[in-house]
Amino acid sequence: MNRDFMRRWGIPSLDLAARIYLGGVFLFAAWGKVLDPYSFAVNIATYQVLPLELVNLAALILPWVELAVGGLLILGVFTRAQALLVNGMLLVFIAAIASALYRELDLGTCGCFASEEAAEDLSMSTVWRDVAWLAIGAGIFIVPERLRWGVERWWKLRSARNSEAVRDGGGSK
Amino acid sequence: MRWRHDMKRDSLAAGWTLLLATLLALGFNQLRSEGIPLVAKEPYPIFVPCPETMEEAAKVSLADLAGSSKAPSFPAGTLLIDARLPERFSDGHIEGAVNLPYDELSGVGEEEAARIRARPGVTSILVYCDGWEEETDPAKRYDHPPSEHLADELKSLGFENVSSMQGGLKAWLERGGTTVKGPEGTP
Repeated sequence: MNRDFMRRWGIPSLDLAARIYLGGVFLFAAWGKVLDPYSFAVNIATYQVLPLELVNLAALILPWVELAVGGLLILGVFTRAQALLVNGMLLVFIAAIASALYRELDLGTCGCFASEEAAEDLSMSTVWRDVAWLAIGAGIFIVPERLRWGVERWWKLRSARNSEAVRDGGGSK
Repeated sequence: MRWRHDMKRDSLAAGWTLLLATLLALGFNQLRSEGIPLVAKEPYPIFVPCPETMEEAAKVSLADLAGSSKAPSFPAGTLLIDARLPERFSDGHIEGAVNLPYDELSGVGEEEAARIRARPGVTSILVYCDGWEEETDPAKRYDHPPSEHLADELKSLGFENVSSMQGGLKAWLERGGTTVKGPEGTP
């Protein structure tokens, strides 16, 4: 009974809550950067890890990846792939922030979010926060697809029902 | 096998997502008027923190140095550093001084510090500026005279026997000291 409840409601709702939270974080982080790529390029340049030739490309593409991944994660489209991308980005962010802290760079803010209200001083707590998000991303990745609520699952079930109906209809002829 | 199949599918889907995001990013940037070039032409103005000095250099008055009303002479081995802008230095500076303009943002560069270290026979450093008057001097935007900031910074960089001259060039001239003109004198 308990196990059945977990499979039907517990895991899917936890997975959905985690996806809405993490996807929301990425959507929120992306939006300001999409609208103001110059400021984000300055943020990236301040980390002094990318050659100048790649700074603008990263500033242009990264927010759109965050936007796409955040949206698709919430909708539940290729969810495991989005969780892979989220964790890949988080690993890059963690490495960049840790390296900035190690080099004692005074960045002001980490540049994670474009809005000034969400701006935070760069510190080890930023790293730990990203590690916590990494754990959530890993959790989303390991949830079996059949226990997930989302567009992809809904589409597969619908297609399966349709083909079943076609097969049943064909058989009755 | 199933696991390998899933990973292949996930990697493919991740690749498509990246491609879609890249195309959207480049297309959006191309269409909007506030778009940025794909490759930056000039380095970005990276935020540079003001140098923080951890040490405090001594402050000496000309009376301490001379002990009389006439202009003092400086002990052998004293490197005089003029912390003012090059134009002011050219207009008149204490003979033998070198010019190291104080900049609150960039501080003392590694090259300048290395050149000072390489100077032979230097046993102490005395920094001066115009002479700082709270009410009239434009330098009052600093909380201390530039010479004090520079002396603190030099001491923080490991230089020993660093001090700043109280009253600066103004006090020097009042005590009958003379100046020489000329642009030469970089450390």
